[in-house]
Amino acid sequence: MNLAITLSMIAIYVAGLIYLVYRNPLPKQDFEEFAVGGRSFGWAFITMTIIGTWYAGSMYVGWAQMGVEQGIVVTYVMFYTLGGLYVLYVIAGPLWKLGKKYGIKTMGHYFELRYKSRSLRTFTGFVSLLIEFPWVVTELLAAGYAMQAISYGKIPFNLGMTIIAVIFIAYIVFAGMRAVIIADFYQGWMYIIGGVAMFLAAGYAIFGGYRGMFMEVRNLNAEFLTVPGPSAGWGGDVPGALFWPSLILMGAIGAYMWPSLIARIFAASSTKELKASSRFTPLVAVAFTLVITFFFVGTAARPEFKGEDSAYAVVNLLSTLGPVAVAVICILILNGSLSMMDSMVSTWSIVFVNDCVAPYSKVTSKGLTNISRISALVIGFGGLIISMQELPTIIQLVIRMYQGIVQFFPAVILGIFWKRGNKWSAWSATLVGLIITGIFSFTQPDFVPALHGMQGGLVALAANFLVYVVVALVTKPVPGVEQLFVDAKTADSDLGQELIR
Amino acid sequence: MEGNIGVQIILLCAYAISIILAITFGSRILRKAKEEIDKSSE
Repeated sequence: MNLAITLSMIAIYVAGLIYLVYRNPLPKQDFEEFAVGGRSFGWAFITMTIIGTWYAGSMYVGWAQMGVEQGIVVTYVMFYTLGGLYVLYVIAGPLWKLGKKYGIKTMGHYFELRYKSRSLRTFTGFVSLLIEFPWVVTELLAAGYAMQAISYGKIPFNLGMTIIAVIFIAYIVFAGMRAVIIADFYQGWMYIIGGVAMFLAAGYAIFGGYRGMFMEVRNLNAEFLTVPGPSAGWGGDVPGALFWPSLILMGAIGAYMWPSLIARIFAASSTKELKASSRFTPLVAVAFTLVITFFFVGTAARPEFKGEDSAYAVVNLLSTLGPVAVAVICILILNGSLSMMDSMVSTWSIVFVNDCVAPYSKVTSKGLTNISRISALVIGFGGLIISMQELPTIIQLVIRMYQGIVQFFPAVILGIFWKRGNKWSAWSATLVGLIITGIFSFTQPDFVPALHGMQGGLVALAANFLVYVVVALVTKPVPGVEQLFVDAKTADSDLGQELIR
Repeated sequence: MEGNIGVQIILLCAYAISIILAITFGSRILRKAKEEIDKSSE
């Protein structure tokens, strides 16, 4: 009976997704349509696709584990989500306008336009893909776990991952970014209604409300309700006073440097729609993040659900509510995994073709679309095969290189707002930032104990900014850069088709 | 059905509403978009 309930619910969820995506085929078969959905999406779709891409399936496992083990520290997610949305608000307008006028589809593409360096475009595309790739492995693992849990162990882990991979790769190949954004729209609703209902209802049913939940946590260990600071206790495991704020700063700055997220800017139909989305997205994001992260902290009060691995404590606790709860939490995990993986794999295929193939060959628009489709197949199934292996240490090390993505921030933000920057400043600053990050990543734990727990990536970022400014001041600006700054301010913000609101 | 019946009814409703709203709004918006595209290509 329980199995019938959970499998019926997942089947209906997948059927709804397939129905919405496949009844809306591509209006035309060109690369502009495949890569940025024809720059035609309004605020409702942009909001949902940002939310869908942002909340990963692995958060119900990884962030849940952080809440259970470290308490309120996990709420850094809410602060950096808001910080990231502010960064999006700042960069979205100029980038969209330049994107519309010059056909930009990726961050690397913008770099070529701004810094007149094709090699920087290719380097940015390649390195950003390399840094983001491990995410797809973590998401596939979360999806495999969810499929196993929703079927009460009847669907083996690897088969579960394969089913999910086939679903999202199929709709990427079908309609590229348009299919991904439509799927994200569908998945966003499940977060907003299904997710909030799940955690609020569970909070009341299990703990008698969030107040009771926090009382239980306080009674168990009051330090779970503090963040590490100079005098915050935390026994002998205090990473340092700068650990928590640097997590937030790193997250906020790096949030919209990920290829899969910055691509959302170029899919909007106008800057008006982007602004409308930025008014609504923070409200939804804060409400959802608070409800779930508080519940993760509350789970710390029930140590008996930690089992062998505390990463599964939240799912174990929610499963006590019955089969419908099992189905909803597993669907939320799959929802997160699907929306993140489809965004990443589709964006990577587009970045690869746009930044690594197109600049060096004369392939037609249709040809680029087909190469993107093949790339999506290779990257998606490549990730699946890697996920099925005993993960080597290198993958765990590469995962820590997420701090590397932040190192593209100075070249983006200073490129938008400071005319002096040129290819020498962008190249040297980004390389210095990546090298210092690499050194910290391979020689230190997730933070630098000697720097009171600060993330090594932030030190690298400071050096990155400094090098950019110094090199820009001692070398000549890019010829013709003034026109780009005029275009970034004055290009008609409502040039977009404004077709899909 | 095992577990907490009240919570499960709430969750079932939330799950169903999520899917219905996503399909209803999504289809409506995308249908209008298709009409606009067809109109502009005529």
